[in-house]
Amino acid sequence: MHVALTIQVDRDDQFILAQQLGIAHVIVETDSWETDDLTTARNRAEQTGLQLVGVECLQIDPHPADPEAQFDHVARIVRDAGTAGVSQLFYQWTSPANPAPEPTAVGRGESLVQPQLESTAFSADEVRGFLERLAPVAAESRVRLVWHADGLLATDIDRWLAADAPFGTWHGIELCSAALAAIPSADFAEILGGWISTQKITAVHLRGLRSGESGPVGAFLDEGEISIPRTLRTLRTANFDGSVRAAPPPGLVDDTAWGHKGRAFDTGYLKAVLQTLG
Amino acid sequence: MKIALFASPAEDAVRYLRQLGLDYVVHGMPSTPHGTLDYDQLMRTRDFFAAAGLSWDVIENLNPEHYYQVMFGLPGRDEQIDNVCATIRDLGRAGIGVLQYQWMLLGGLRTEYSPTGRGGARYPRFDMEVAQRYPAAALDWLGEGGKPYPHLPDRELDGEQVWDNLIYFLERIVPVAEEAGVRLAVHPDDAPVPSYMGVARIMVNLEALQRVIDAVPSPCNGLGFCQGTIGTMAGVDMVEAIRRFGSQGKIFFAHFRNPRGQVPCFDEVFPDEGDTDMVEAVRAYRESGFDGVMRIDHCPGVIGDNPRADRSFAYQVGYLKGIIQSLDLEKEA
Repeated sequence: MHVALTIQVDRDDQFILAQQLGIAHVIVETDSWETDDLTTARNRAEQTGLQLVGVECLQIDPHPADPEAQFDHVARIVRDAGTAGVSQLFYQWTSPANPAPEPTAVGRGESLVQPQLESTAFSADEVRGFLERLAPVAAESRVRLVWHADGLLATDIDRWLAADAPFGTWHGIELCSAALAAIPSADFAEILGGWISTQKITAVHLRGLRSGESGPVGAFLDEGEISIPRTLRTLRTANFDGSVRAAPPPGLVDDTAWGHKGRAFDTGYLKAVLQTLG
Repeated sequence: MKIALFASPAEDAVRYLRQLGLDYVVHGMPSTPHGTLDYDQLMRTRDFFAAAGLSWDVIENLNPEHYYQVMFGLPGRDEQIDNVCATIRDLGRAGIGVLQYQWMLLGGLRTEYSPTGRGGARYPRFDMEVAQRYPAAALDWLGEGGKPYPHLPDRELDGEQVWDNLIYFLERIVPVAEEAGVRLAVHPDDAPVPSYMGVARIMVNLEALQRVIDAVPSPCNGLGFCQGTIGTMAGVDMVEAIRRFGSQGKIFFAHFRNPRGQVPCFDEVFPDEGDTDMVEAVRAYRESGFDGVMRIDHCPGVIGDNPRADRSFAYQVGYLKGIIQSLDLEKEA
């Protein structure tokens, strides 16, 4: 298990900060999906001595207007990722009509926090056909597709893991905090450990969450309803060997949009927890 | 253990601390020209922090300019001691329970601040070989300090003279501190070299720290346990040192820092890459019963940081919190 940091592809300072904070693994964020863009992402990580875990975040619509066109587009990107030497593509099932809510200053110390994103509703059955067609492309390209499953509820995970099994190593799930928050406390280790044992969870995306007036809101990693030390201890006990990374942090005073201060805090926190767990 | 950062009484500074989840602040107030604190300003500052939800329990440091004669044993020292006593009484009235002071006659010493660290981070460094070549340049934290008093010495002092001066000082201020309910925490010599430009530096090993405690026994006489400085003392095992002084109840205040190397040469690196296992260090503080304020101390310079080094300090606050919460989990298990 390693701590990874999400870096914007065109920001040198973020690569350098990652190195300075002692990060070895990065997930590079891009909006451009041509072969050259993917090659650039890999090169920039390697040139700064960092290991590229994957590139994010490809948006895939579970209810596309033109399913064929979307499949061709994604398949092309998967092939290009293979050509560029990018081994993992992180993606989200999301509708274009699903804008991110504006953050508000209701976090600790009036930090800016975002309400939990409203996820696009869809079922495993609706996307199975798409993934079945894509799996051979991914296998041939030696690229794993990782679903950044921020809307996945704990109650649905078993079903998804079962549905995902046929795709072998070419598809995985990045587990997110909303799912962790919903696990009953007494069964936490057993349930999370069970998910990890399927070997379909390839990454974990951590975000502090606490109850807000109209649903859960983001929080710092050291506060809220999810115990990060407990989560990481469970992952370690279950021999999880993927990436753990923090979600975008709450907005601190005079911080950048990317959140240099907040991400430094998160990185120190996650590294210390892993070091303490041994 | 109460995690704190040093901050000035400014809105954005206190908001930043609250956002990081801190409940404690450390601050050092400027002295009046007479060498005392302005009591009204002290109260205003304390109330400002309190209104922001921050408890100000430690003041750090006294301006050395105002006890310079005491450190060097010069005429006028008794008047300076009277001023220090007045400050201690005011701190007691304001409910600020710890006064950290330093007994570094020539101040803090560093020789470099270069991008030699991880990912090109800037590490403050002390290298005695360089310092011997350019002794004046290394004074006052490479000239980055407040330059509160002349640093270039006009005389030589040996160790026993410096000890005599310190004990003279303590014998007069400790009874006042007891009466005021203020604990006095001495900061060791940073860098802990035994002498510099002919002037002894006495607080350079664990025996010296014990000697200060024993010289004037009192519940109000103890240590500002600067882990960064003590870790660079030759041959020191940090975890053992924490247990030794923590178990005596003599750590009144601590600095969280993890250097790499010991005198004659060391770097101030990130807390996860220094010589001390910081998890074991925090465990030692807890097991020895330390429940005071621990301030995150100096930090490496990272890219694009502001003068307050918010990014670098955020990393260290997160790091210390991560250790503490993980140790809490261990305890639960």
